[in-house]
Amino acid sequence: MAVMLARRLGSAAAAAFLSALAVFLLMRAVPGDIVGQMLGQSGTDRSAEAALRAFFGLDRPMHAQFLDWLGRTLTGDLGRSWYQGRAVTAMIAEAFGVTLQLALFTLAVSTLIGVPLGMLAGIREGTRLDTAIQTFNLLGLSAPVFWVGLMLLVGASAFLGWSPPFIYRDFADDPGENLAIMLLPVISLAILQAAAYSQFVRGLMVTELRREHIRTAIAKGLTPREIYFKHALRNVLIPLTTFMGLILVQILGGVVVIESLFSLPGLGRLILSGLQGRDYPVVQGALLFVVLIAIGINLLVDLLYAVIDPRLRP
Amino acid sequence: MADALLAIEDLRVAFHTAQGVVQAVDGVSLSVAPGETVAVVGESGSGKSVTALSVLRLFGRGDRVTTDGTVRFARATGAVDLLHLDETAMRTIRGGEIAIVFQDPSASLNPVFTIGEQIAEVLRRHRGLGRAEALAEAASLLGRVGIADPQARLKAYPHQLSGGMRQRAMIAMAIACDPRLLIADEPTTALDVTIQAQIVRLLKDIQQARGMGLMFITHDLELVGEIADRVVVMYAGQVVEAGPAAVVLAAPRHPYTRALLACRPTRDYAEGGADTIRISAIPGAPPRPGANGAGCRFAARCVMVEPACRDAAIPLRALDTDRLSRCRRAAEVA
Repeated sequence: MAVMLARRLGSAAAAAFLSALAVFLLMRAVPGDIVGQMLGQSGTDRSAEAALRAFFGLDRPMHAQFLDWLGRTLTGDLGRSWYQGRAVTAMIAEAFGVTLQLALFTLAVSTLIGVPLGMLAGIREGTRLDTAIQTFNLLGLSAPVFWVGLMLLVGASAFLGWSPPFIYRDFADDPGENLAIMLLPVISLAILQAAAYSQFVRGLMVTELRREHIRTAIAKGLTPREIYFKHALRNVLIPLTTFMGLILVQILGGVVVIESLFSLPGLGRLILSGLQGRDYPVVQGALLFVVLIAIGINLLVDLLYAVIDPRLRP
Repeated sequence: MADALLAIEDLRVAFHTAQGVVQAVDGVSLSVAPGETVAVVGESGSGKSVTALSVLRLFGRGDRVTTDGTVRFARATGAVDLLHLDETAMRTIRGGEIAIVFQDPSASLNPVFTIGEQIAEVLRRHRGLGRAEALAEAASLLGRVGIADPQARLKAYPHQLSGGMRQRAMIAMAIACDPRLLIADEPTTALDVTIQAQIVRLLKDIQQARGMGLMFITHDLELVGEIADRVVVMYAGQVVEAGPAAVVLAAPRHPYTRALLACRPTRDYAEGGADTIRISAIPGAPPRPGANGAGCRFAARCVMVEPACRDAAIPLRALDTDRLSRCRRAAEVA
């Protein structure tokens, strides 16, 4: 167990380093920088341009910039936003609260809808119900999240005469307003993920119910409920754990678009606005943070595996 | 037949596949008396396992199966036809009155539950025991099937046991509710040779101690002599020979049975221990299930075949009070 943990932590650290490098290089690969943005098209003043570059440290060699950033990052200092002057860590902390709430709500809603739907489809394999659920899955998987969000927004105002509040409120400040704001974004994201869950769980269930130990369970005289929800479900939970991790990572990726659409001040919007202004510290810091979260989720899933699957226990 | 524990009559089982209808079992009749051991012998595809699974209606999910005939089973409350019994009643029979031990214990046990839990589950279902009582009983069952330190093994997961131990656990699960009939579907095929004999002896012991009927499905005639009172030989979905085990093994009355007996490995002893083991085989392959010509289904592989054998289907004939053969020349087989 300790060996496995050490190995997992080692590979997680390596992945984190490579991600940091990629985030840094990607940012530099985007054409234009903050100096260009500030001076605009008219900026032909060479000396002013050079002075600004030096001010932001952009005149130094690439590796020096990277090592400097990496070194400070390791101490927990992500620098300050070039536009707002605020500490990037504080900006991330603020935005992450929004994104985390959105992601966890979406995860909860999609799990509660997708897993039962998938189990039902798998159990009733080949029936009309199965076909109906699979049709939902296909539609849910193929509808773009931003389109679903837009349709929900338009539909709610056109048919219900209701629009979500414009000003973002924390759950702690105003729970009612907060939930009203979160409602449509969560539904838009959850439809896709519920469809993904449902399709995945259906496949697992179909395979599981053909395994020989299920025949044993039937031969023991167990009821369908015990067979499906005890013997089959417990086995399905193992791959489902990994899938849940994947879904969560995917949700974190999907929030960028949906946060912009619904004007939620989360990580996605932080990254997007930072990117538009070439605010390197903000984008690098926020992206790296998201990557680290993803790595952390995968690590957690690996550890959960050992808890759920007796064959992996020491 | 009237006092039989299990009486299968004219059982037909067809699988409807994309390639057409496969008649896996084609008019099989056999019976098991209380306390009797009946071995059902045949090659793969002979329909012996399908016959066994039909008794508990354990067909695969997604298989489209039609059955015909009757499978009468004597419950304590009277005889029922298992092919037409409703699911609820069937569930009280499965695991309670008729239990089954499958071929591959590794696949037949649920990998994520402990052995104790899997045995206790049957006891709770059929005997209404509480959790603690059921576990205590499971431990004594594990002891009964020869597993050392049963208390500790209760907490073991299937992957922590050897193949032989897993099959012992399956047997413990099967006998947990004292079934009137035990079906063993090639219970030793997936095990090491050294373990096979132990498992067969264990089944025999338990069968005798509890007076259960035992339906033993195997392709191994060697085992038949050790365990069975009567033997039923199947070929291409039909019974080709049946009778008391000792008599059939000593003097088969069907060329197929004789050929099977000839296939048993024989050892030629030589000086210095350089023995040679000879294994012969029946030439040809059994017909694909359902793909049979007009006459005797074994004709293509039979050494005694005559033109008349291929003309019309051969009926199963009684040779004397307790022997049956589906051969026109039964009297000449030696």
